[in-house]
Amino acid sequence: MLEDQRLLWRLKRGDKEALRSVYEKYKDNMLTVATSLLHDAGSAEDVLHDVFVSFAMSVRKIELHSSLRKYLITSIINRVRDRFRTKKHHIVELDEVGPVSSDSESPERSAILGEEAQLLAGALARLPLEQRETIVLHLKADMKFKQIAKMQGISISTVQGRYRYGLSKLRTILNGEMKK
Amino acid sequence: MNPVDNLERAIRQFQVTTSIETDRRILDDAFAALEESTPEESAGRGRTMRQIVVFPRVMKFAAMAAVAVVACALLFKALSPKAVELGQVYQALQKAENLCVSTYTDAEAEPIQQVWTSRTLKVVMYKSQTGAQAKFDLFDIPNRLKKTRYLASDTVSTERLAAEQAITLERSISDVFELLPFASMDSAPKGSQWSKVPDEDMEASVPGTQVYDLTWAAEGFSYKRRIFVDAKSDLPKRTEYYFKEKPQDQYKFESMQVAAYPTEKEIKLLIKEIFGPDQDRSGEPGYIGTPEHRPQDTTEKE
Repeated sequence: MLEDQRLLWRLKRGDKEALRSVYEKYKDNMLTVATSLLHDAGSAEDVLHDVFVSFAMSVRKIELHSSLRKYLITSIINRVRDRFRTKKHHIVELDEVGPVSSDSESPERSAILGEEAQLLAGALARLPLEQRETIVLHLKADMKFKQIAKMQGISISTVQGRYRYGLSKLRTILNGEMKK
Repeated sequence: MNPVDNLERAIRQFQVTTSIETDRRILDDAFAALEESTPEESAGRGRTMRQIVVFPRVMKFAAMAAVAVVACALLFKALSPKAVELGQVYQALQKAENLCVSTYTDAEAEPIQQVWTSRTLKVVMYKSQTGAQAKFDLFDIPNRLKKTRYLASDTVSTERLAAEQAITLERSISDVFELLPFASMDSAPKGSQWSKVPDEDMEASVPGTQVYDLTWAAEGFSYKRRIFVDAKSDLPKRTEYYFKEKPQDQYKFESMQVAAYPTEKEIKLLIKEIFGPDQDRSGEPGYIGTPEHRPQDTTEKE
């Protein structure tokens, strides 16, 4: 938190090295959250790009009341939600899900996700968005149920329910995949 | 074992990494966005047209006032201990060849970060985390290398520094090591104040120092940097960082930085202890090796 405050302070003075530090520190976490939610490597990288450039653009106006990580992850979630709204993404049907798709044939990118990770990302993509979001926020963004409830404007018990149902469904999907 | 536990662990461990091309694309665009959002900082501080036009007119009166002020200052100087101006501290810092800054927070016994900077060797070394989790990053500008060592794994990894990164680093080591936010009161925001803290007990907490407060406001927030200045060298020995969101609030302590000024030899020795002898440090990127010795406890605290 304190280190982030200092980085932000340097950023407000136009320090590029501070911007690089923030990027290096949080990029993988941000990209993982975006990929988990979107199940599309290309779209996830676009979201990371948009969020980070927008962060750099508006850095002077940012008032950090929590951690920088939470701020950036929340920005990712919001941008993903926007994408779902504008592109009318739907829940991926069971039969539709393949490996994490990408609009690039770059070998680097295909090496980014291992087989196990592909399986997990595919299973996550089959969950309803609200369950997927709850699981990702809790496990990948380390947010407490109380924080997620506040962010989503719902009760803690609803969040806990979504989390439990989501994990249960995920386990069923993965068990099914393993038997194939 | 509960399968859900495994699942939770698997999700926690699930990690996607960006490609080098993606990093380059995002950082290029983000740097451009940062320049756009902070144009005055990026372009440097220039005088406005109003300052240029008004300055000659007021200069005559200012010169007369300055003569009077200097006369008074000379009179008081003979009677009172030497007062240090912010500009003097800045100049002393600019002349320092090597520096170690340890950053502490109130609750922590160990520094949360230590940074060793050598302007003569052109190297910067960061220590982050504490105890067995400690991580050392060495930026070797002349050799364009970044070396990383985690104490827990006891291995050293090396990667090539990008040209732009090396230039930025070289520029940063000629800066004032982040101990001072401004070079002088002229470059501080309007309304900033530099004042001596008349508290002998406080001065005694860091022997041989005089204590000054630098206060300023920016974007609705108020900042205070308390600086313990060495009475002989004008170098800061400790700085404390305070912050408040509203003018009516009390300042809250954020962090403390303790500054030490090691010799070049001491810095070389420390680097050798952590990363091994010089010949190992000039290896090609991708080199992974094990240093000969475990480093000593590098914690420095007053």
